[in-house]
Amino acid sequence: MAERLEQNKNLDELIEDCLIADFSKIKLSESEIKQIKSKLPKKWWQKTIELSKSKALTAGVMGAIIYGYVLAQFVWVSPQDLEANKLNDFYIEQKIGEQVVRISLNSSGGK
Amino acid sequence: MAEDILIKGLKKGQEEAFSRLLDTYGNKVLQTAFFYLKSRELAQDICQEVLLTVFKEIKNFKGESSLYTWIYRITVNKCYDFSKQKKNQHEILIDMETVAEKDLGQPTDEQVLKKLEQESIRKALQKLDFTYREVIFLFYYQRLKIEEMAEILNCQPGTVKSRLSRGRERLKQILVEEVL
Repeated sequence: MAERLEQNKNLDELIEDCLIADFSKIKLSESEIKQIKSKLPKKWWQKTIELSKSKALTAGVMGAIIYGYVLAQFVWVSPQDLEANKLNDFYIEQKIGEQVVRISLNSSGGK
Repeated sequence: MAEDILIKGLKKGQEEAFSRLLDTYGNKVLQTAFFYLKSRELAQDICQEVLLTVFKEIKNFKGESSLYTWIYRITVNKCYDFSKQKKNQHEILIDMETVAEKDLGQPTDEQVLKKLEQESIRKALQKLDFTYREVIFLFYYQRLKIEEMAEILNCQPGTVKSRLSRGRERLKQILVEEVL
């Protein structure tokens, strides 16, 4: 080594080799790269999309609730209403001559 | 040319350009920060800060120096700022033995000799003043030009030249006197 040091060129090589051996091992890992990328400031359209996403989600949920409520008003018939309107009284009317015959389809029988 | 494309991409805020910046300079910035701060964790924090600063501040980059030099200047400044905050600017010493990877398996004679040589250089570098060690690192490892180093270290090219020359001489002296 003493001989090699006689020439500056060899000292240069030795320094270079030593520094390369020590520092070339220090590298960013994949997870560190991902972490750095995740810290990038978002662009206005990315922010808008994100905001729109959350707004759309809220609007969707609200819409579904309102739609469900309105639909329920039409479809749902309470048992009291059924009784009051005699919606459960199913029958067939048939005119025979001068008479109208009503045949009930309920279990209570025809009239 | 590739640098121009990279700068344009960064100025447009392209994520792809940022990925290329990370690929090209990420490890170099990390290694430089590690040289100054001697902590892998701190170096990673500084590296992240530097790259994000480059991305945000690229609009202010006028191209008076190369992108390469500009990034290094940001890195070195951030390391100095951090050191000042921690008040340990003059205590920066790199214990490279902790970083050096242990080789596995039976080494050849040549490998043993090389290892011994590297060990001697490492010890001598640690004994060198930080001012000299800094220029030696930037010159030999980061392969920066004298003018670039002068810009980064905010001094005259002549000062860098003389520091490099004195550092080399001092290193040689330490090797001959103490290590060999």
